[in-house]
Amino acid sequence: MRNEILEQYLPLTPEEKEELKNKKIKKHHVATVFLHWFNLFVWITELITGAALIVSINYRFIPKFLTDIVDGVYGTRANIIKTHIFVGVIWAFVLILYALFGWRRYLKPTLKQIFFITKDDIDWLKTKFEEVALNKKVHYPPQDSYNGGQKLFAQVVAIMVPVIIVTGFIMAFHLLPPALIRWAIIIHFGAVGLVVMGLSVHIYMALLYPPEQEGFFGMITGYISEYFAYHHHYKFWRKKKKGLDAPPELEPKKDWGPIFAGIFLGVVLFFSYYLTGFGLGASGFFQRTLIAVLGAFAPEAVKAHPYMGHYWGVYPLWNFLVFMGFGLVGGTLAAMFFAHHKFRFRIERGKNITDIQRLVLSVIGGIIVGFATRIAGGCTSSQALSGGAVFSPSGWIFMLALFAGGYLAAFIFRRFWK
Amino acid sequence: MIGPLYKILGWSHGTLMLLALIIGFFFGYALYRSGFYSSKKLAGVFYLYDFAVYKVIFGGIVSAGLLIWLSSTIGLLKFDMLTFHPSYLLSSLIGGFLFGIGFVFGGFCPGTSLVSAVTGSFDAMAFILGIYVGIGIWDIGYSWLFKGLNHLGKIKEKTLMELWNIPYIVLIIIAFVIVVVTFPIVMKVEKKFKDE
Amino acid sequence: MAKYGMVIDLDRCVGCQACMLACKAQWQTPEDYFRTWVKHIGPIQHNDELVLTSFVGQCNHCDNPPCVPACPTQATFKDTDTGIVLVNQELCIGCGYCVEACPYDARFINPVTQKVDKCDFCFPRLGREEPACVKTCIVSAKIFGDLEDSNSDISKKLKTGNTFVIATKKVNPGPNVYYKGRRKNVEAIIKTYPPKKKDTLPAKIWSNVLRPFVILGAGATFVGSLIAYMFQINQGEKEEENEE
Repeated sequence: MRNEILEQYLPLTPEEKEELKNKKIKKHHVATVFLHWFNLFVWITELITGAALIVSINYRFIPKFLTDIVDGVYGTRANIIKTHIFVGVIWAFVLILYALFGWRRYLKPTLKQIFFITKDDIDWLKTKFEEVALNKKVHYPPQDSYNGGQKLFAQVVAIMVPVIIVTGFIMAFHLLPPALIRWAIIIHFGAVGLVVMGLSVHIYMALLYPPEQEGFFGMITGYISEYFAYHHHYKFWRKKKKGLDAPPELEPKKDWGPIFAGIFLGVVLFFSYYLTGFGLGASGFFQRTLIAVLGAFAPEAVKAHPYMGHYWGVYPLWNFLVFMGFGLVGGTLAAMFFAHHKFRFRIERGKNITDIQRLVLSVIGGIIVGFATRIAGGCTSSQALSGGAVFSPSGWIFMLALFAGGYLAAFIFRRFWK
Repeated sequence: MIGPLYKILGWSHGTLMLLALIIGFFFGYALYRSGFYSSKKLAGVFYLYDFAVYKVIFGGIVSAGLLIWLSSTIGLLKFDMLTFHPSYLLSSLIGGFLFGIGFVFGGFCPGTSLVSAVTGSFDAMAFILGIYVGIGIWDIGYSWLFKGLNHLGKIKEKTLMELWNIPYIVLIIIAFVIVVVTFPIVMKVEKKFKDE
Repeated sequence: MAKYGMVIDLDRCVGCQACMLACKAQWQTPEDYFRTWVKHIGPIQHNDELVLTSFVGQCNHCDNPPCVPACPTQATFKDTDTGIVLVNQELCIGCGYCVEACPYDARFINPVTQKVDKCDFCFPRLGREEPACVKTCIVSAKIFGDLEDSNSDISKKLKTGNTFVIATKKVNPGPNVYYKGRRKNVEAIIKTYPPKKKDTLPAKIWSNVLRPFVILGAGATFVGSLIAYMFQINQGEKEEENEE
């Protein structure tokens, strides 16, 4: 069996080639895709703020005019360090969640693969060098789902990222005596330096190098063509085809019972009131993101507007409900992930209507709901739930009217959902 | 520590944003695990085949109400410092009625549409598009058409406790009784209509 | 624009340490930590003379402060308007590179805030009151003022001569705290508490090894990628050639 897996892939006939090109094969789970692009965002933010923090002539490694630009963007230098720490903490939080819950399914198999270097991986590095530097016609040795170069970079990242996080926490929260913080700084700096060295090759290969470009789109959609997998990740292709070592599909979890869900939601609502003094809400997210977009075109008009100006505040997106909306998106994705549900594009509808009709109805419903939230000043989350729990009169009237309107509409438009 | 912590301890706005992020996280988690990523399930409450929406809302109201009452009674929470909606009764009535109709048409409310959209539902994305259009219509037409529509029927009391002068816990008990009485009924109704 | 400094009259100082207490009361530094200090010297023999004096020390607010380039985040900086060396507490990460770099040991890591702490000539009181130590001194041994203003008390005092700074030929960061008194006393202070030129090992490694390594390494991979890209453009599409 082993010999069979290690053997070279054979040239394809044009028919086989066409066939493989049209077939898609799953390369990355949606969680990996999200994590990858989240990482990109974090690395950009942290590299910029981190570089701008080091301005001493003894240690600086980017010219002064560049740090001046970042200073200008952030206003005060204290904001730079706050951003750096804030983003870093969130990054660590996400990565720890990933490591804890994805250990068995993602992290462990990945680590096992990247730290297990075979002769093929070393041959691949030679072949790649010949291809890029000497412009030779090459035939790649069979590779796992990570090729030799990717493995090398992944090793650096897998070792250095925990180092970066630990030393970062030591510095940011003074976890050790000053004598050791001094070392934490330079270890932090050195570890980032090592990753950055690999980063430009990583970006070059993914973005600009045509033979690898399908891998780049694979990191967006999660899928690559079988043809690409056959050429670039032969061992991975074989395993997929033969179903070898494929991790077992986890049983999707059932939804919570409504009573447990209600109590959980009640506890979340209580903590929202206890921690901040505000309840839950969702429609404010839409109102403020809309204003932010409109404000980008005509800030003065929006600020002076008798209704929208009220929602502008200091800055419309620097707002409780907007951040709650971001958190809500994150919580949803986490819940989907931990419930072993799959992300899938879909349209849900009643039996009697078509997909297009469903979408049209959905838009109309959205318009009515959006408009109604502005009249009532809130939606089911803020009025019915948050207002209901503290027995606000408007909250209860809203809820009763909602059910009245809903049952009336459902009675008239029976065909929508039956 | 006495809450609401943000107001009493004078935390920064940035901290509030972080809290919002965390609270929103669990809010989204709860909505997803309740099954509210599915418009079919959400619309079920109006077509009598799935009362999950009703049960979750009332379960949430009673449990959150109990916790708030308990913590403010033992002095852990200053009830007066919580922020509530101002009471515009007529606006809430009109808004709620329209909202119900829109809910049946679209099968979502704003929070659940966000939940459903990020899990890949095109109908939720269409609904969100609609929400933006609806809000946009309001925002643009506010000055010359809808001004004041959101401020109808104002009363100064912000809670039913003030309005009717009865203790908080009595209202919670009433809500709890409603839950105990109606849940078995809706479960029967649910069963009957599920098969159709 | 101004350049604040101080003159400490060793002939007047009685070594009572009231300044240490006034400073502590003003800035609430933790136990055993002082922004200014009085260290008694002697009696010792120095160049065949007997010396008995006090070393009244604090941050010298140097013209070329070694602590400023030692700070990675520029939390420590020399204020351009006053010439005072200040610490931005929000930026300080408490690494202590500056503590090590200071030739006078004038800095310390405050164990409560875990950030660096030192004399700032009572910066928040500037313009209203004199620094706490100056105000409290019973014999007016400390004189504070603007060195650039020729009419100030401090400038007049400096003109009377016999003023020294704590510096050697090797280590002279340009201190702005002057000592007035007999030469032998100041020499004894310098001999007992010599200003030291120091660099911590991690700081040395950072600026001499790690920084060139990272810049060269990242530069090399970047330039390498760029060159490879140039070749790639030169050769045109290669994807189809891969197939046999």
